[in-house]
Amino acid sequence: MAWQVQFRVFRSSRGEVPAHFDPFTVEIKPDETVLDGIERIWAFQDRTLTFRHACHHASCGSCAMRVNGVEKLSCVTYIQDVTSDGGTLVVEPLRNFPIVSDLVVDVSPMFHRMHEVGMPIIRSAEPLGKPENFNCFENCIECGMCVSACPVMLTSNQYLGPAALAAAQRTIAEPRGVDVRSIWQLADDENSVWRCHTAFECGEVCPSNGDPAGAIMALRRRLILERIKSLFGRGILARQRGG
Amino acid sequence: MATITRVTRWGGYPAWAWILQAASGVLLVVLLSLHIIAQHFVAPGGVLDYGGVVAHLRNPVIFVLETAFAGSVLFHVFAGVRAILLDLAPSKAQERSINVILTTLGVGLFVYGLVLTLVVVTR
Amino acid sequence: MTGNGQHNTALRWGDSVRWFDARRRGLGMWAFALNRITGVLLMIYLLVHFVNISVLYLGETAWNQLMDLFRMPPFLIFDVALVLVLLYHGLNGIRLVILALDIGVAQQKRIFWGLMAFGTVVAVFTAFGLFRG
Repeated sequence: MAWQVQFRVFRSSRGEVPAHFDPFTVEIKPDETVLDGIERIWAFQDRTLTFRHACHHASCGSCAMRVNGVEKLSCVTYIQDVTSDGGTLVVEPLRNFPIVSDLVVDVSPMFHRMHEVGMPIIRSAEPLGKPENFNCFENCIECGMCVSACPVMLTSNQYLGPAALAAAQRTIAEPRGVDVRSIWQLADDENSVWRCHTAFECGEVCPSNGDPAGAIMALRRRLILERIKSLFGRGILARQRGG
Repeated sequence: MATITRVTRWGGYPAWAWILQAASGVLLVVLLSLHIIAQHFVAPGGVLDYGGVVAHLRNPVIFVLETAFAGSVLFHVFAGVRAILLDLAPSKAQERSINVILTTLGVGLFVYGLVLTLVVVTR
Repeated sequence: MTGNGQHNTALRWGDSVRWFDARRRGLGMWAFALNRITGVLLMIYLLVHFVNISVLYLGETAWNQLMDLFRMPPFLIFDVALVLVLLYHGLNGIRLVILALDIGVAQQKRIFWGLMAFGTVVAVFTAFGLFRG
């Protein structure tokens, strides 16, 4: 039995001011997904609607968007979980990224930062040590949802952001030959670990239990301990000052 | 590996701002509990009359505790205000003004409180 | 445009105060927004407190009159509200310090509710103490 749902879809092309919402009424079953609805809008109602999607099973991260204000992977977000028959769905692109068109954002700022912190996801060797220690961050699918959900990211486009900070923690925990001094420096920066307000929104929306908030807390603990050590002329921060 | 192009400042200044905010917060939990218990739960009706306040502040232990309390609460409050203001994305020049204004306010209120206390206990 | 690794979305004033808006967000976001709101309230109270302790300078009569005023029920209700705000800000602050030491991060919601339960007990005792005395 199909439901009737009104999709209110964010529309914008580069340079268009102001952006607006287009309403589309869609016949959709409650156990279909938000992405199914958007594809149906594109197929039968408006061929100009742009959105990103690929795998349809939560492993590529392309279809990340905001559904009723909250970041979701639209391919695994079921209609019955976010609206009701005759209800409305507000669909918007991720926040904190430049909008390319409609639901498509430019996620390259996040990837640049992943490079800055040693890109620990792309690895030349298999994890060392016990696998359970290294499971979490490797599950990151780089969807950008944590960056969109982060309230600090909203206030500063200089903030390193949850994904890159989690990656920094990962690289420091297991450097594999990467020079971690520059990563310590990035993490200790005014726009990094100290900027996080511990709102846990990144972990709240993460589709793969990457636990970026936990990684930031681990990094913060490391940095606090190193700072205290540096008072006594010890540890990595003290050595850094010398060279 | 890509080069680092973001402007970074690594003098430990942001780190110490955070650590001192946390440390003053923890200290305040202790000092504020003492402050409230000392001021309100030993006094009839929850507040001390004038003689009570003066006798209270003349006790050197209380005086030291109250001064430490005033110092840490002012630091914590104005460092907190600074954190909120920094989230409004100020320019570097605006950030410097924020630092100067808030430091002046904090130090000014601390000195005011100290002078007020000394005037009251010595007359 | 994005070659320098920055998020080049233009910041708007509205974005800078969006931390206030925790609607449809998780417990951590509510905790953070409330922490700031209670922080601002406490700052205002501190400034008012500086004004009211200044009455000490005016001498015994003025101070005792002010204290008679503060013993009246509307001010006692204000005192209870103040204690609630202080308890929230202080206990949530303790949670933030615990988490920053990487302790119990996976349990952050339980830690929050545990501390709030403790705060409720303290608040009830304080309220009884204030109205009895």
